[in-house]
Amino acid sequence: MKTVLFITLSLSLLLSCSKQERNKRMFAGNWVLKNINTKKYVNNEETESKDTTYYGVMQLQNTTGVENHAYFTRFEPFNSNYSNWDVSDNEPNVIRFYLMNLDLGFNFSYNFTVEKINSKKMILTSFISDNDLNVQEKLTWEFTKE
Amino acid sequence: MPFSMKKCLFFISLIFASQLLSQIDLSLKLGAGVGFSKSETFNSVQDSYNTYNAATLKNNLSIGISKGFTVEVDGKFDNLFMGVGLTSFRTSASAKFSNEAKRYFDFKHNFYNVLIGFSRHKAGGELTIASGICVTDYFLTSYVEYATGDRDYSYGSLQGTYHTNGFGIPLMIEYGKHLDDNLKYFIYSRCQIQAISATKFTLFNIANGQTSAIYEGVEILDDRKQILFELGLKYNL
Repeated sequence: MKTVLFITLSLSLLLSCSKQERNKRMFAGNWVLKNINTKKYVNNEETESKDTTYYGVMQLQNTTGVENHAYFTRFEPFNSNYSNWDVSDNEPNVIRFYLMNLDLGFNFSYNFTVEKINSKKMILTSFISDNDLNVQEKLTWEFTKE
Repeated sequence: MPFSMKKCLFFISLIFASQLLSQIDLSLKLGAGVGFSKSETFNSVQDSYNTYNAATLKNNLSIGISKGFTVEVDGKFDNLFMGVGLTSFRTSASAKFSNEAKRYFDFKHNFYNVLIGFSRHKAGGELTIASGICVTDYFLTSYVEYATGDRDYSYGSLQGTYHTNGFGIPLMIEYGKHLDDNLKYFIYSRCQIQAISATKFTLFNIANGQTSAIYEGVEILDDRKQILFELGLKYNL
């Protein structure tokens, strides 16, 4: 009995998964963009809120290779390009897209804050703020799992 | 990391301990506590941050007390003590600006300990002194909370989550008293010092292209030292 319990508890600690790998599995899959909400602020007070219904699909692949690819369908500004993506370690707070187009000679990366992520829904946000940390605009992308 | 230090350390302790299981008294321990921590590199960043933002700060960047828990399996053979467990502590530093926006630095430190030492039971109480080796998981998450209440993990030169693994040498002093005549249940108080860090590795932000945690030319490393005070319960199996 002692032996079984000791081994079980030790193996539980031993086999605790990398949180980064767990986070990637959570994000992987096909996500349908349902809505983009734009909020505008003056002196950190909300002055405007606008919903835009927008259809696009984002496929996040999770591979065992070095890079994970994201493919976009009817999805501005990525169009039909693909990009690499990564998520934060520990808590899934950030998802980063790295888009590179060698033919046109440009590359850029962008980080989104993850406001919510579960098996059915994902909400990403980004902010425009000034140097004094006053919010001017908040963009919210709402996705559902296909 | 392609090589898991955690798995290697616990596999070694598992093989070692399993040979002695028939001869030792096992117990399960659960505790919670508070503590204090210090990091030379973060202190430098803290000073630099407060100087750079002096004109707009309402409350300077300062660090709070640590809070956490321990889960441990212990073995005792005569006066020889062995323990395998996890101690996890969180600490937070924050600064507040005149427009009510805040900058947070959240630290999470997991210590996977393999302990060996001396334990002596006398007159209803048990004193244990142990040291050993620990593998550490160190996370630093930095974010801004705007006056609107929204959190932004993508703003600024220190954005998102940074992580590294390391090694260290823990020191533990513990005193327990039994709660029943059968000596099954103990209440214990413990002081754990994680002061000797064999590694001062760079923290990496995976979601930001493997960048390290640098503010105004100063890099934050995993050089945090902690002293932790716990109360908990022990159950003899």
